[in-house]
Amino acid sequence: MSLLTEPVGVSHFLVVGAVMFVTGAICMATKRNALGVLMGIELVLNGANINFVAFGSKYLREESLGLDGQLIALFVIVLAAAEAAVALAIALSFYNNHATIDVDQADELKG
Amino acid sequence: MQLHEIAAEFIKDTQASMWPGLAPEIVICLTIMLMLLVRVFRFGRLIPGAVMAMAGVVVALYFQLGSVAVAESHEIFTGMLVLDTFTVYLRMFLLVFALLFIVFTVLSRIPDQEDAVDFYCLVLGSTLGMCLMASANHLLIVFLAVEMASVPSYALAGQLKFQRKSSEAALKYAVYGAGAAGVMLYGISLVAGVMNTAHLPTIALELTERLPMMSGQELMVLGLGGLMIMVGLAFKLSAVPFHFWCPDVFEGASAEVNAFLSIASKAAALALLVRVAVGVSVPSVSESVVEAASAPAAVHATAMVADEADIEPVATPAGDPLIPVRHFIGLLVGGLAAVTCTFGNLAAYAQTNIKRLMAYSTIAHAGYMMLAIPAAIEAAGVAPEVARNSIAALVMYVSVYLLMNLGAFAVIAFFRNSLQSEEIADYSGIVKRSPIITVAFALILFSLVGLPPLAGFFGKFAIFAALADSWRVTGHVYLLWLLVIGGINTAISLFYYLRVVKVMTIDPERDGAPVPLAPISFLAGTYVLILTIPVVTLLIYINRVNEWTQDAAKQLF
Amino acid sequence: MLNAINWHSFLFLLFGGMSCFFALGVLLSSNVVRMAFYLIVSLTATAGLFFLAGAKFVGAMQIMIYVGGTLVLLIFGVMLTAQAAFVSMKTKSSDWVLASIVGASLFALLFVAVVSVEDWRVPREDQSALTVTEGESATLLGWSLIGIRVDKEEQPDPQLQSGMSGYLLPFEIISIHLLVVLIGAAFLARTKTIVFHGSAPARVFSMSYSDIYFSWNGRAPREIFWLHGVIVLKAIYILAAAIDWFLIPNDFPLLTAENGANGLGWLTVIVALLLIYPAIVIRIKRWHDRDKRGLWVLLPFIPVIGVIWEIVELGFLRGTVGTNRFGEDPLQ
Repeated sequence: MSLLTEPVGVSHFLVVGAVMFVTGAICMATKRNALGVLMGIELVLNGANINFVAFGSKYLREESLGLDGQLIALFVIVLAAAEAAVALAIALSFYNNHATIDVDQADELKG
Repeated sequence: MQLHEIAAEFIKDTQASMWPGLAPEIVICLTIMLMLLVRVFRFGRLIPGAVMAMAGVVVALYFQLGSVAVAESHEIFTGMLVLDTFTVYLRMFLLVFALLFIVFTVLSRIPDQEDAVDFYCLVLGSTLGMCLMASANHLLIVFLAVEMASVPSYALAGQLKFQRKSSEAALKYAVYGAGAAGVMLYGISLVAGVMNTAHLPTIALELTERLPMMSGQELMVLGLGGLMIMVGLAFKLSAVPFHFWCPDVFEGASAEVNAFLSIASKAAALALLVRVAVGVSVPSVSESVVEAASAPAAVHATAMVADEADIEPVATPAGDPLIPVRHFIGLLVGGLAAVTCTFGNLAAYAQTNIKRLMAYSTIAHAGYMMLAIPAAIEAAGVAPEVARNSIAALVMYVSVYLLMNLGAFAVIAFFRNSLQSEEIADYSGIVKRSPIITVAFALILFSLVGLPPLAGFFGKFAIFAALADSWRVTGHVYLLWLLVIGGINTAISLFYYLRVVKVMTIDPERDGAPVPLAPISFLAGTYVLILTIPVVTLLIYINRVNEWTQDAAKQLF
Repeated sequence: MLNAINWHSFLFLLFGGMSCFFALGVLLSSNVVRMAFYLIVSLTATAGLFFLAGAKFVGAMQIMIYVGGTLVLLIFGVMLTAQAAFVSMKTKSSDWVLASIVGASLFALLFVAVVSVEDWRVPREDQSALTVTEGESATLLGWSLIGIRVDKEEQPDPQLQSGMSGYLLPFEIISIHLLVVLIGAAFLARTKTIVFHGSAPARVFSMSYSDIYFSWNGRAPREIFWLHGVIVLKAIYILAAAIDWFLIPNDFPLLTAENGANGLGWLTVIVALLLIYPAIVIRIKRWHDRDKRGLWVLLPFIPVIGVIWEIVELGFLRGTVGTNRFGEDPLQ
């Protein structure tokens, strides 16, 4: 049980970040519900945010990104909110036109 | 350093940089707010949105033209942005484009009275983000600027909101775009984590010091982060394999929005790519002008110089630890560029919809433009003047591209208003009905191919010359391969552009072709002519344009 | 046994495990309502991780903005679109296979990358000795957002000091971004009174360009006067002047400095002379519209008054209603 007794380092946080990032990326690729895709985006951004905070933390290592990590994380939270607002408006506009929120139905434009 | 010293430094910096360095952006911000505010009043609703937006852009241009010339590259806003002639040129480019674009939308009547203010707000907001992209000096600004430029354009793509195709295009653009931005952010977090800073010049500085003794693992994380950042940028550039959104979004969105996405957005993305690539791999002006060094070619032992004996690679400064970084960036961008322009040109053949064809043409041109970056980056440490020429070539191509693509999309929009169709086949015999516009469109298409003496030729020629020059001074053979690929692509592209010209001029009018609803208005024709004349006559004032582009690139290396 | 437990690590495991577990829940669930709930738990647990890393302010913002704002927004979206058929949408199994292979390899790559870096794996030795105040950052964040980096004081290397940027610019510009984005969202959500796609509505009247610019018969409404008589003609003139001044370089063989590259060039003069004719015929047609004879074009030769009179009468007054001696009413 060394994880319980040893102090944690940056890597531990980064692993959580990587899990969130990868889950989010797969969510975006596989979800058929457009809102599910948006949730995937939130997970990806959140994974990056965990990285920023961990890199900036003075608890975890001496030479760190410092305050920049926290500041960037703050801005990312705000940008994610902005992006979610527009993406949701677009998803609803799609829903109004197509009467479905299933992205697999978005096939009139062949890719 | 005491707190009051920091505060004093900050106040001085803000006073010195706020207005002089950022006047156009501030004017754009004020215009956006003003446009929204006047809607509160009844008389305000009578002012057309286009007039206010145009006035704002003109005022911003006025302040940009009136500002003192930038004597040397310097940071503003405590290192967030960098102000040099490149920034200034790109900003002028974006503002001039915004002005021409607003005139275009007025002529083609795409945002109606009800939507106009919102539409121009989104356009100006996106332009603001693009101005930031051109001057980014910090990884947060890189991400912020990309978001500021993209998110409004998602909404623009869905602007025809009661059309199924338009909302589908917007959804695809938003989802893919947000995904690419997320990947880019993750990459930024990795790079910032390894380098312990997000300030681009400091990253270059740290890299110079630490790269030789970095462990393999750290290098791997750094490379991974760099690749992820490149994913985000490649998406903005619609580079293969992140191009798939481009044809769909172009088909679903209106031709006006296409023009915006294919010109302003591409130019800004290229500028950002230059900023990031140069920012992390060229430490400062003084260091890169090391010309006396005489180390043998052992430094670039990447085996690429092996098969050419007669070319003596000009010496690279010994021990410049950033050479591998530059080589990595050069290979990465060069490889993407080669694939992008080949794929774009090949895929354009099968298209029957003019907007899809132009989408693939946009992809191909993004590829050509990206070719300048390996040339510049590889030459940066060896021969700064060659690097400067390469960036000048890029700027020249982008400027010429503005005229050509804006002209092309304007014609597409005016034809759409007249024919209600965007199929190439429906253009058959159109030369009889609107001869002048058809000839102008044909000239623009020839220019997109790059036939001399039209403007497109000078852009392509400048890029190819830059590649050859860079190969001459660095000896990297892959630059020569890029040149060959670019040349072959130019030949390939001839045929699909010619097909459109043939349909318009030679093919007889089809049975059942749509009957034109309205003739193309006089002003619309004039607008197309105004864009075409410089495309044809660039030859005369090529020297003047050359001076401008050289001036734009002179402070980068 | 209990004494051996590092409570910081324990809490990390708790929150980190919750974040990962519920993130996987979002991925594996096919019910959009459940997904939204799992996402809330996952992001709240992430806020806990932020607290553990000493980023208290960011953790608080995570809960307030992300969980309290963004996710509520998403849940609205779920409610607006949640019809029974759409609540649950299953992904095809072939998609699952592909996604899990790509995802697993991506995760393996990232995992190896982040775990192998020596500097990151080894925790700070004196971690347990650090006091709470060490992580006190809200004040510093506040200062940074208005552009002052108080922590510059601690940075010994002056070269690195210059890289410690203040965040005033992003702080300011993001407000404009939010404004634009909200306008965009409102624009997309608003219903429209008229469905309109680009096509020009049929014009009420039409005149051919040769009629406008070369014929002095018939009548012309105010629109023609402003659009063609003023804007177009002035624009052509300005364009000619601009070409003379600006675009043709001094060493252009046909045009040396003596005969006018830096002044009114011959192009401008020729164009100006050519423009006189259309300017006159447009005015004549406008005078006809006012039911007056074409000779009125001489009116501006009366100083001041004549010019003002002309502008008011031609530019702002409607032509006579119905047919007059010069032709039909162009507006009917």
